[in-house]
Amino acid sequence: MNTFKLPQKMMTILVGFIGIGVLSMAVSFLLDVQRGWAGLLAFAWYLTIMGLAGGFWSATQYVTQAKWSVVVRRIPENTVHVLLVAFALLAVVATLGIGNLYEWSHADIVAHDVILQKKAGYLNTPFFWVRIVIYFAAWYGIGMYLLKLSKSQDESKDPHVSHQLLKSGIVYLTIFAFTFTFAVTDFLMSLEPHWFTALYPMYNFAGMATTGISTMIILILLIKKYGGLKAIGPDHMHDMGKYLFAFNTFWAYTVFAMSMLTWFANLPEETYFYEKRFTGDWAYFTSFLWFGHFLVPFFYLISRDTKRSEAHLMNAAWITAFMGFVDVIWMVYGAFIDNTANVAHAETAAHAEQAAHAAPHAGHFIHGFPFGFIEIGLFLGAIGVFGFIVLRAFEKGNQVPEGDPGLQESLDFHQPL
Amino acid sequence: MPSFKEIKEGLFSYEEVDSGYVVRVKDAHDLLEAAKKVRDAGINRFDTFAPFPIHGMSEAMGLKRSWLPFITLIGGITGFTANISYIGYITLIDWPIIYGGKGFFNFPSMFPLFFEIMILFASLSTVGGFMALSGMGSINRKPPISEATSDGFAIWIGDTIPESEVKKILGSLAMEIRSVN
Repeated sequence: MNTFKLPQKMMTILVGFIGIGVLSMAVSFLLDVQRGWAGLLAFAWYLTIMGLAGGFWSATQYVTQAKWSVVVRRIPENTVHVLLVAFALLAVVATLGIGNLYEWSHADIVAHDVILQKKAGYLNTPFFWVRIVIYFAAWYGIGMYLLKLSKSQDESKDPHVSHQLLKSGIVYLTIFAFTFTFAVTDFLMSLEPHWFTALYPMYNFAGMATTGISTMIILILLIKKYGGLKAIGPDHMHDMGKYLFAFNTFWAYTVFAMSMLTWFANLPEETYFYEKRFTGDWAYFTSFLWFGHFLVPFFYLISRDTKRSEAHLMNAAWITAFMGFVDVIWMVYGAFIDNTANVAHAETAAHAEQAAHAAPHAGHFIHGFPFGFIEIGLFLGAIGVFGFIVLRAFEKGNQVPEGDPGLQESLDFHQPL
Repeated sequence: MPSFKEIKEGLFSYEEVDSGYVVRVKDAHDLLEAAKKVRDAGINRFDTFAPFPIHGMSEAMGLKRSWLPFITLIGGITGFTANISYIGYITLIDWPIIYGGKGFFNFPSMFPLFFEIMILFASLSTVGGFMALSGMGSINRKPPISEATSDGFAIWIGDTIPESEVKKILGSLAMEIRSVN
């Protein structure tokens, strides 16, 4: 077996990151309970998308029968282990924190709100719990099945396993498309249950893919730095960089599509989502997200030399991974903006009513600038949890899928000049 | 009625090989080896001819990176700025009209236009730049050996060196050496 172990120093640093994350979470809960719950939801959702992206990405490689990516595949396949931690944290959020986060879980509020009454058939607490279990059972179950199947090929060298992976990959991608759409709706869009858009899952999908690719790149380059994964050369990393560049641009496309359609239609029940995110401090935060997530990595990664250089690609991957967390914070914290100023300054009665709907229910506001040291600590904690779990799982198996029929082709992979 | 061969020769009249030697080699692998040897011998003026693209030939010949991506970038930037100024001129100076109650210069609603024109300029300049850089514009190119369009492989050495030197560089790879005048 051709395994690789990172030096203990690196693992200690990752455990330190987890410590920073736990500390930030504790401080956040002590200072402001609302911010604590919102931060925990963002943290858990960020772990979920990192864990999902690996399975999604490797399933696309099975289905397309891609050969270049065979040597890269083990890190993405192993990310599925993170879903267990994410599930545990989201279960805590969905049981203990549900009252703070989800307006539709309060029977007394629903009793006075016609819109929430109409949605109660879907947005109710028991069904919410059932759905969470279904999502994670599907993601973790099929993801582990794919990982086991892929690992079994290392010993047996059986080329039929590749065909089995193709078929299971198709099943995974189909189920993933539906479950991810519903999960985004449940966890994030229902934070603001009066607001809706069909583009929200696509926007989240783009964010998930960008974050996932960048965290995979970080781990692969970390292992390469300490002498592992020698099979991966600059040609493979060039393609990973292209993936990052493409999904990041796709993210910008979805952001623009969603906000442009809302701006153009100009319906009071939709525009408050953006209006409150463009008022006061949030204007800076939104600009920071849109410029930092798209323009900076776009012009950084546009050059071929950046994508082929390990140091530059690592920088770009850290930027996009960090901005992926900022994106999640933007979606989650935005639901708890103190919206009373918008209600007071609304021009018509309809606008005032919509603004009141867009405001979080009694007292559940997050005050102050939405991004500070606590959120940076949470980001480091999430990276620590992700890196620790995935690298521990990676150390137990082969570095590359040794039985894959496409391995030689992958080793010989080479980008045209 | 001219024969097919005459028509073909009439079409492909442009001789790009004007001096030096044309050396036939056995197959694609030998051609790669030959290109490496010729480059290592310090000869800059040479080219290879094969019926299909060969992986690794660019590196073997020591070709520099193409300028094509920069042409695409410049085309894209030109298209984007040109269209912004065009729409800006129309909606702010020449004929200001309010569409849908949104004000004069609607950046969000016009952005898809900027984007599309950027793509159009970038893609057209890529095609044009590719034609110019690769010499595909001259459709009457004549290969130095006619088999290079079916099953022959050849390397052309443009420097004026003695034939014994060519033999020394290529060794047993050379199947047939023809000098060009």
